[in-house]
Amino acid sequence: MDPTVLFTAEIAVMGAASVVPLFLPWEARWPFTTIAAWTAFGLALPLAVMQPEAGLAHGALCLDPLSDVMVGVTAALYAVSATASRYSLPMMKRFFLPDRLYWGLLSAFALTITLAATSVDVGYAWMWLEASTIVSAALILVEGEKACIEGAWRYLIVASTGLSIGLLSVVVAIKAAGTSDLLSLAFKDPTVASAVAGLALVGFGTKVGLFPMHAWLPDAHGTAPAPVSAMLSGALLPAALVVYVRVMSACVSSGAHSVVPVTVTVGALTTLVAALLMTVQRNIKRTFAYSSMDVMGVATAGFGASVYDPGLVGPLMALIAVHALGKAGLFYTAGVLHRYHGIKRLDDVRGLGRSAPGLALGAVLGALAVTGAPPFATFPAEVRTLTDLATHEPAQAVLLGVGMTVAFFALNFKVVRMVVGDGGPEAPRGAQALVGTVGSAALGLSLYLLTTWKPIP
Amino acid sequence: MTVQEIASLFGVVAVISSFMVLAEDYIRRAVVWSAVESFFLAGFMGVYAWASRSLETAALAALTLVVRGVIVPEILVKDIKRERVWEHRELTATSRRAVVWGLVVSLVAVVAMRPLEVKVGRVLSLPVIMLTVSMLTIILRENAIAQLVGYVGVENSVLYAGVSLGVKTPLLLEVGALMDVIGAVLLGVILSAEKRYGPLEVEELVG
Repeated sequence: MDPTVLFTAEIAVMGAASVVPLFLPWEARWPFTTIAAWTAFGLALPLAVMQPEAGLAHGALCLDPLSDVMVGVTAALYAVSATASRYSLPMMKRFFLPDRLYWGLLSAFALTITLAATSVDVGYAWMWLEASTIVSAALILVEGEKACIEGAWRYLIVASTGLSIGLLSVVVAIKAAGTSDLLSLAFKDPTVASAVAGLALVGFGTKVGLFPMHAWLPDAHGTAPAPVSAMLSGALLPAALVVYVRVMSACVSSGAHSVVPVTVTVGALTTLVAALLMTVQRNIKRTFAYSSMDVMGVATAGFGASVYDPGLVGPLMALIAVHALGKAGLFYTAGVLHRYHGIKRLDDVRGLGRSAPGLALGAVLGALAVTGAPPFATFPAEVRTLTDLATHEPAQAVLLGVGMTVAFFALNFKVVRMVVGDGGPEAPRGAQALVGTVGSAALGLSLYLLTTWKPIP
Repeated sequence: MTVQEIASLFGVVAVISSFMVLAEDYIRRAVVWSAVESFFLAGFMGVYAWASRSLETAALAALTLVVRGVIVPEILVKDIKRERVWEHRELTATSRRAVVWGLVVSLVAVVAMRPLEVKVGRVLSLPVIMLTVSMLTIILRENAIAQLVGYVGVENSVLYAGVSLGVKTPLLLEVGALMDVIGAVLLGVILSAEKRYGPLEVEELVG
């Protein structure tokens, strides 16, 4: 089937689902949004599997292998998060925004991420990322706790300010290259290309959660409803990274080779800092947020290294896809513990394996997936990134290697402590089934990617 | 005076106003300086629009004047009058420290942007100084209203850079409108949160 038709239909479904729930009675909102989300996923899945030829542009949108994976990942998280919201929204006690807005905002969030990842014009990609900031902040604001309001405020102010620097890079790029079309972006002068890439790294890097612009990330992830945290972590951060990677590629092609070690260094430092912060963190969702920062650091360093080894892009996109599902499993576990038992701290959870085996399965598989344990598809991506960097940027390889190792032990140790023991909290069977399935899907996807998936050229 | 010189004068006054926002101890005066900054930036854009016969830049100037020069400051000043607590000096930010930091980051910004300025052939230092000073306002203040004023400065600086560089696409106008929407959302959060929890001071969120 024509990829353009599938994509257009998916966008139309997400657009409709952003508006229609506002006019539905409350009991119809969840079924409608869930059906729409799974329909969108059904339309997006063939795009990710088929992998249409590179650079297939349609007006302002571009379906290339990078964006196809992002479209699939976003749609998958949208579908699962809409389903998981059944166990999140009804348990909220205080609302800041009317709860009827939640369902439309969730769909609009998926829509803005999809459009940001597929925009061929860097200016419009920036605008969709900024729009996603507004929508996701509104989703955090649905709950009326003071911490949620502060988290949303910090997210809005830090992410928008950071993205303003990204906009500066766009403006300089338009002036220097005469276009903002990512497929034809080229600079005559390497100094200008380096400046554009540097500003883009700071600007879009803020939205990715790269060190030292990551201040918003733990607050936003920690205070958002769990399904929203999963989408923030698994879809929004990589979408911003994809936009940066496209700008970086254009700049490197124009002779800005100095950008590569800078990108790799920022990525490696992000992983190291996130790993260290993870070791001392006690809040469950904030721990998982730092884990997202850790994985984005690996992916950023990897995309930098892909300049030396273009074949690394495929494994990195697999890392992004598997991380999305794994992290969803972790966040949904945290969400169920918070909503049904008021548990926010890691020290308050023991014995999940006996009391709620579905949650335990999802959390363990999710932790192993996001930390790059074999046989998950994150493992070959991390190993190949490290080996490439060991050849070309050895100092950064050491930083990244230490960060990955610390993150692996920190997260898995904390999750295992939640699972073992007795007297753990119970959870609804439906929620357990969902979380267990999502974790298992990360494993299934890994096996599919490692055995049959055609790597991105 | 040439048109270029008049535009530059407006721009310089806008940058000085952003410094005044940073240096101001009292929230209400910071809001007024923010309005002055937007007012002069709108003047800068207006002169550029007239010289280049650009309808988009004229619309951007109008947007800057009406939204960030009048509406946002007006709402904030009314809010400050309602909450007497804003009349008091902020204890967490002192003007002396802020000004020193502002001068340091401005110097760094000018040095860092110099090679790019030479290549592009346009003045970028002033918008970048305004950007860094406005970001400092956000960083050094814990008070939400002061941070919103800083965000308005960031928005102004990016649009200032766009117009200075002579970018002639509708994108800049669209971006300006979108950033104003974010400003409106921030304003809405402040006003709603104050009703529920009192003045919004962004403390460190404890894990």
